[in-house]
Amino acid sequence: MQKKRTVYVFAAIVIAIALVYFFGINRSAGASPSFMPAVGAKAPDYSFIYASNGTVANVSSLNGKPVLLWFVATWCSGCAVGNEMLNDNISYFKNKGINVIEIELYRDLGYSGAPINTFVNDYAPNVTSYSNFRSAISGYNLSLAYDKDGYLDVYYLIGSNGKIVYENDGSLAATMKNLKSKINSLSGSL
Amino acid sequence: MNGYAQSSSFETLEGTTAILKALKVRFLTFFAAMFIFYYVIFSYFSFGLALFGIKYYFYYILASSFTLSILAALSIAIGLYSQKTVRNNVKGNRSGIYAFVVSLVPSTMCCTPIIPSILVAVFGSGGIALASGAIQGALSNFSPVFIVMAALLLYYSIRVSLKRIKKPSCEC
Repeated sequence: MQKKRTVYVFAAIVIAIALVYFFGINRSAGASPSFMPAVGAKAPDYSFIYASNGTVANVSSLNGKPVLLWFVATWCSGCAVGNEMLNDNISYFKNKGINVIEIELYRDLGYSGAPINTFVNDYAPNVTSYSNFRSAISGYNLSLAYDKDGYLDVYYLIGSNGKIVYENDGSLAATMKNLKSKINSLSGSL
Repeated sequence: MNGYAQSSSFETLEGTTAILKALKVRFLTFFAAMFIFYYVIFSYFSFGLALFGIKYYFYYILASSFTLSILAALSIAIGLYSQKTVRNNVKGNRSGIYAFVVSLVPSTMCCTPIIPSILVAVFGSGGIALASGAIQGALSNFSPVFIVMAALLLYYSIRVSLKRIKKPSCEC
């Protein structure tokens, strides 16, 4: 009886780990998840605050150049890995003429982590020297519009016309390859 | 092997060492398997990166994996020995399983969609879902507490198994 119970418990643990893997890692492929604005739609226009100088800006103010909006929490290890990945790839985005805005989710999703500037400096020290990178802090409406389910590490590629071209709710670190191949395939039409 | 049950030092380091000598192949196999398991899981989720930083989180993963795997291997090897040799209709000791679950909570529950998905299922999108960090961030920042808790549970599990070897009739 005890043996049986132990087997059930271990089976439950294995299933839980499998669920984490499939929901957590393999979400990158396929159609847009329901909580994200659809690809092809106009990017929702809400405000954020640039961390460097406290200026308030709207998403629409970024129109005219393609932009990557990446939503993070600064206590999140996966986002830290994403920063390391961004650190290694920021020149790629620069060469493609893409701005990158790393945005701390509203109130860091309810748990206070490091300030976004410190977070970026710790894990992606090179990016701040690139003119196409800026970090920012999200207002409630922006987080609600782009990440209403409160997932970590989601990003959007918005074309110069202000429409969403590509999006992913998998981590930036795990899906950088997909993002780059999408950008390469869109080259010229961004 | 039977001598362990009569040994007065069954709960001491010597007693444990004597059992491990007899079970060393099994112990080393469990240790290697558990170490690889923990190391792969912790590395995969970059366990402790946001807490300890790039320079030190590798050591945190290594130390956690080593501590947990050595205790888990001890717990399994001694637990199996106690069950095989002296256990008779005694209630199972589940602290090893609890320890396993506790040790994996912070790495698998933080920074994955599990907690946000549960909150959305219960409370809907927005609002509370946008505060899922209150749970995830706490799991991330207090992960060492979970590791220590898991280690203590494993230690308890080992103690119980060793007690059974000493007193086969005990209800421990």
